[in-house]
Amino acid sequence: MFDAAPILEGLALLADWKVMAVLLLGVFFGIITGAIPGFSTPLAISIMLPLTYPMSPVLGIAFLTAIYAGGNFGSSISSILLNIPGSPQAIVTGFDGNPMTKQGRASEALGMAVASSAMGNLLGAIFLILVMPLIVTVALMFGPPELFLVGVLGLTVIAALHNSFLKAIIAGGFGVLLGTVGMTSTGAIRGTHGFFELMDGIPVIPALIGLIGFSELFYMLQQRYVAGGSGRKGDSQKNLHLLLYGFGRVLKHPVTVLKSSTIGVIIGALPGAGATVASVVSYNEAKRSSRKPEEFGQGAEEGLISAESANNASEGGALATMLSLGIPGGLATAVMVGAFMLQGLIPGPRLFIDHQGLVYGIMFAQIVASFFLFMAGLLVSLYAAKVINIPTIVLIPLIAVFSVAGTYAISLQMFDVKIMLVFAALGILMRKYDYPLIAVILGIILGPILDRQLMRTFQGAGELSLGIFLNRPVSLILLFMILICLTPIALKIYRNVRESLGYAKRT
Amino acid sequence: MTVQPKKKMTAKALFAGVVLVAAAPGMALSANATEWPTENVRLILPFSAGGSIDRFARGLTQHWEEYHDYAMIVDNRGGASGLLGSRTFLGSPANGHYLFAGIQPTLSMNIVAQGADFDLEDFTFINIEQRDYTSIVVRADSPYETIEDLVESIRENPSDVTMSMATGSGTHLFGLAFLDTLELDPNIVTFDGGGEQRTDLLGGHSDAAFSSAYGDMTLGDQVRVLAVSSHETFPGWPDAPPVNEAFPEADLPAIGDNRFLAVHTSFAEENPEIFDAIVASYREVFHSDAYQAHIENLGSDLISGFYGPEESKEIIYEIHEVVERYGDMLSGN
Amino acid sequence: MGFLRELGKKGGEFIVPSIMLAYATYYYLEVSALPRREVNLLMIQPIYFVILVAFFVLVAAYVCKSLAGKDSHDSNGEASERKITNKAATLSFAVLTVAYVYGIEWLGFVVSSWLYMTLLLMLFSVKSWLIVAAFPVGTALFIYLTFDMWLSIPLPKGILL
Repeated sequence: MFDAAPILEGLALLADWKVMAVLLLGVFFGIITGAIPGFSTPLAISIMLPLTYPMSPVLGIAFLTAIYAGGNFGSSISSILLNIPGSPQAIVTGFDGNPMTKQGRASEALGMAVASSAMGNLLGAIFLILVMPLIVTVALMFGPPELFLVGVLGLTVIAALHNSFLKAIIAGGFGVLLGTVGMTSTGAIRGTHGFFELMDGIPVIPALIGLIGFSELFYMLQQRYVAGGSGRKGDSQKNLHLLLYGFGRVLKHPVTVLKSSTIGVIIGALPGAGATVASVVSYNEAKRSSRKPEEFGQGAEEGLISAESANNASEGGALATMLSLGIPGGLATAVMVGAFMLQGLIPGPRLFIDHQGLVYGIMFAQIVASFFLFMAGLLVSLYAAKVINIPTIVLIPLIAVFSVAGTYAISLQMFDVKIMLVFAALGILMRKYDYPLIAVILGIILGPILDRQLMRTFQGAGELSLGIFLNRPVSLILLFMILICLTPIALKIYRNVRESLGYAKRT
Repeated sequence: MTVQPKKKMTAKALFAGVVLVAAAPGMALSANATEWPTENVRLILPFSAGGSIDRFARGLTQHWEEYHDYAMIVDNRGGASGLLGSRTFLGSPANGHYLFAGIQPTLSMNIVAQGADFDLEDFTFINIEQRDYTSIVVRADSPYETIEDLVESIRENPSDVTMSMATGSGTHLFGLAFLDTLELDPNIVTFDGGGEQRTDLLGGHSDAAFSSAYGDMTLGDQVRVLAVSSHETFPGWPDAPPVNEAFPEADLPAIGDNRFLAVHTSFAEENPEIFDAIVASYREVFHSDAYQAHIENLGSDLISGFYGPEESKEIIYEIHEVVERYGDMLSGN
Repeated sequence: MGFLRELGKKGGEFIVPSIMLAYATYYYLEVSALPRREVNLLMIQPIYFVILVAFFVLVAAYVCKSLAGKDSHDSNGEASERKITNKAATLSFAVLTVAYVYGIEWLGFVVSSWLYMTLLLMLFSVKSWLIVAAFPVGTALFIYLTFDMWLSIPLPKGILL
């Protein structure tokens, strides 16, 4: 199965200093743009696409994949420090990352994020090399019913997001409904109020920036400094020390890293799912199997680690599907397919046969990129951690303007910016009355997956019944997993109800 | 969205630019000047970076740029199946320096099924460069060896056969026409894009698919094409019969994705000479050795051709009629 | 009387779920009117049902608690830490931001951003004249150079830049 010649050829391709340079630059660019709220990773990749034309195939593709990897980590920086995720895949990282910042553990959190990202990326790359055909076979087993269940699995996270189960359900349900807006693949147009811009659905990034980012700015206004601290200038040595300490903490959780990366790779390989869903499912699983689940959401290390390693590992999965089938898993890989074609190469089964060396080269480049990610990540984190020392009166205008520019840049429409404002208003309202914002965003992200896959399940069978799911092995496994995830929630509700009834009886 | 780097202006171009600016009033849009282009050209693409039309547009502009002194920039404006970009194009200045690359019948579907606020008459077509066709395709290990097998199976047990379609594309339209004309009623699963549709087919979750004949070539021997929508055999799939050969009574139009170039009609009508200059310039690029070598390299020479403004317009309007016929079904009824 | 006033004050609690339920109902009815309901409502119907039920349980639980006389403050620690204390500044920020977004299409991105940032800094009573003058200009120019010049992402240009 493993031919020595193309493997060596692949390695030889990497021996070029230009490849190293491009990987390093890509990772830096990805991290920095990822950290800017509003600048999403697919945007960063499509901006750099033209620069890859004059490059050789391995250079161009390595560059773009490095940006993707960097972006997956970079968006966590703003999520951890400012509670403003730079991209959707960083939302879950912030669940525990931001509380850690508030506890004064910002550098530690960043260090953990860097290490988890780098390791997730590395594991994803290793999986890619060793078992690409297997990843693809598994991915192909997921038809509409299975993909729907993956969405449901993601939804179960929402139920556990907040002390008030009811509030989470309402907010999450609302989000899912918003996620169904747009034109369906049967031609029906739902909820667009006549706006052509909404035909593809409510745009996620503007909604995210508005709901979570902009509304956060309103709360930042109330404090002088982001973490409520006094703006003491931390010293670089101490920061570095803390970052490395964070790295050390990750090594103490090898099982979490391994498990999350595996989940990340598989979900990354599924069409239509992506880094965000990967981080959600992985987080949920880590929480469920943890010995101290109540710590999740308050600064639990395992939470941060599971989310970050999953979202970086998902790149390995997405690359697997893209390289072997030529099928893009999401926007980022779609741009990469375009980059291939411009080089005169067609990703797909033929690519592996005709250009095996190149494919191996790209896969090995991922490994190198993981190391660069680690180094670049540490470097950027050293300086990024200082952001919390900048007074909010300076940060707020800066973030506001960048958010507007970044939101506009996605599709060059001021409409998106206005959507951002609408969601900002909703976000402020929700924060005031203590409703979980994340539930709405997760609903908006999962809504399309749930709706479309359920529709296809219905179309394929002519009707909808539980039998469809029970007849398929992978569906059964997923159903089982969902039940396992729901059990702790059900128990909690049961206990809560008993408690309040008991209380009521006593009064 | 992506753009290409701007080229530096040569002294000659700068001088020409100054002269033109000095003589500006009435000159730029008047019938006197047939010099084209006189500034950078933007090719508006109503789809995002990375798709097949994006590859086509970038390859073309890269070669076309060599033929004059200005830059040709591809502007991706994806969204709403091309509707948003089409509106952006129509809202841009109609001065001959904004071109449009679109797909038919997607454009007609914008009008008929999505209620777009523009018309086919707003566009004047330069050429349909790529004519792709629809393939009816199954996985290589499928029990269906021929198209007749599939049709028979559907007739016997319609609810046991599942076929997939990618909405918004020409293959969808052909699929509707095929099923309607032959009176077949299998389960239809709809997808938003070809990528997801292919994974679904390869995973065996659907029995057959209406897909792009050219696009399927990348899957090689993992799939078997049972028939194609073109009226002659499609070179990429020599063993697949044209649908009208297998079912002569059907007499179906040869529909697939047609990728074309266009300008504003308002511009073409007021400046027919400049329009002719644009067409001539494009034809020169298309037939050049360099460009032909490029498309041969990509394999898209199989579906590329120069039909010219008149014939392209005929083909496009013909397809529009088919879209109108199936307007209801396309709107989800 | 006190109970009613309490209810009214705490009624604000229900603004968010009411808005959500109202919009969900409107959406549900709108989609039901489209042809081929059974396909369009596959996901929407169950979710709407869930929201409806959750809403009523929420109301019921609240009513029960109030009747039982229990002190129904259900804000957890987090909510009470994050209150909007500086109402004037917050409101001005909101108004300025909306004006900014609409201003972009009129005045152009760079000029609007510069104006917005300057006004914000003044609103926050930034003492240093240097910062108020230099920071907005610097940022607006930086964004212009990066987006428009380097990355070729054209920013909206109104009557000005």
